[in-house]
Amino acid sequence: MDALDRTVAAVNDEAQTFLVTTRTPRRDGFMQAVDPALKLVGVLSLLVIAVVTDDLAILCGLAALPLGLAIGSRIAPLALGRRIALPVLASTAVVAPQAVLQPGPTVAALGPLSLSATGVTYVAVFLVRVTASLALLSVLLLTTGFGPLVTALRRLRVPPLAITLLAVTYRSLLLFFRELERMAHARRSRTFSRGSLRGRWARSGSFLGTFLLRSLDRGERVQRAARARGGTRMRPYDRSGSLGRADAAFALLLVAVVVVRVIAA
Amino acid sequence: MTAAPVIEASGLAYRYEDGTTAVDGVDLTIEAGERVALLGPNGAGKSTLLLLLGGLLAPDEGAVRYFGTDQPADAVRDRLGVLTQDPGEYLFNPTVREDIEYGPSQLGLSAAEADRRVAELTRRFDLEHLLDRPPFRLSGGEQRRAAIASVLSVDPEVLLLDEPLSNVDGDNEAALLALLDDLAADGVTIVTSTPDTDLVAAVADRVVLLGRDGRVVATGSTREVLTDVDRLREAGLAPPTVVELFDRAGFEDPPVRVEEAVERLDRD
Repeated sequence: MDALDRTVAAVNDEAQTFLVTTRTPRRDGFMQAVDPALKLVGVLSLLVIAVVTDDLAILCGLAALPLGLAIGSRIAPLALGRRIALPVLASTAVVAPQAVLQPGPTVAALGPLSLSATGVTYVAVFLVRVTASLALLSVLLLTTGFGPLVTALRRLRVPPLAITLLAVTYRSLLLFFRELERMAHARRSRTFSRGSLRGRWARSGSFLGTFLLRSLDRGERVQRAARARGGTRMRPYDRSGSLGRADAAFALLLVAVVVVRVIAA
Repeated sequence: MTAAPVIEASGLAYRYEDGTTAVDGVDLTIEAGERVALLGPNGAGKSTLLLLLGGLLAPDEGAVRYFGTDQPADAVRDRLGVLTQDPGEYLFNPTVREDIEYGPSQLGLSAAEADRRVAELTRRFDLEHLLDRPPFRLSGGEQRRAAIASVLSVDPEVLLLDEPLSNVDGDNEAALLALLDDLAADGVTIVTSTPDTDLVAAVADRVVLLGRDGRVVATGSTREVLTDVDRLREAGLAPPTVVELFDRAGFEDPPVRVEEAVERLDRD
């Protein structure tokens, strides 16, 4: 396996894990029992609170909340951690220089670099906010299938065009990664020597170019198949039942978070 | 009063962007309740013709009429089921259940009616245990069954099937052939594209033979076309095994199906 194969395999695994959640939404857990529309509104509200909050203590509480929700929903904390680790690491790489660049009293020195108190706080707030937001979104996606999510959006009167765009994007991403996987398998099965670095780069460039063309072609054919079956609009059936105890508990949790945020402000 | 043909194609031509002619001057009328096979070698334009007949490609020349009206294909989607060749492209929803429900939901059928159809089709195709699985994680044969269940979920009057039995094992093939027989007995019009001459007699009463140039080489009853060994070879196809066997053995008017051959041997 060369670098391209390894990258394709890793990206494909991550993407499929992220996009196709079939087991966890069917588990008998707390968040699974919450009505998808309420869950969607609740998680979005918590995201807004995370974005407008600068208080580190509240943000830490918000970051701990999805962990509790995950445990209550029979999702392993490690699985949740793995899901958000990569974007959090990427965010760290982006924001870390601010610990040095922000002016303010020095709290520690790393060789010639001085970490300012303002900078360290800024980085901490940023990273906890990112962690909380990603974890909340992950809990939503891990406990809700794509169909119920789309149904919830329709019930919340989100414009049909926006829902169709979301559905087509989702469908295209799935196809995109399946095509990538197929091509990577075919490539590996016929790669007999590593060749020079330059040769490998050239082949990788050609591979990615072909992949884009094939993805476009495949996308067109899937669109045609959707047309053959009556249209491209996404409107799964709404099978949500009446609200229950889990919905009430989740609503209470939301109210509590809002109250804490208001008191802190 | 005679019912109008379900599909009338006149002067159909289609060229790919690189200029290659896929379909050239095809005239074809399909009557209600017919079982028609589009037979031809690889590259004869069978799939393209099927997409043109299904209104999923716009012809460069010619036109297609549906049910004796000038309505476009999109206006009669609830009556016209098209199954494309690759089930991987046909099944694009997160789960098998959502894929089977896709057609009914597009037609605005109630959830109860969709549930009834899903239950019936999944039982018929042994898909109950796969309902919550993503279609692309199924085996080739399972995908094929799920795709056929999906196309049937809108209860179409006309079925256009592009190589529906490729990648299907013996048991599933027998089940699917029995299903196609049932559908035909119920009056469903079935157009099947295939390069497999051994299959044709089981799925069609009339054959449209396409040549490599995208033109119709011959059209006639299944027996007429399948027993014309020379013409089949000219078109780039091997005759059905049973026809070839009887032809080589010097029999007049060879049988086209194995069952027919057995009867003949018993009789002779």
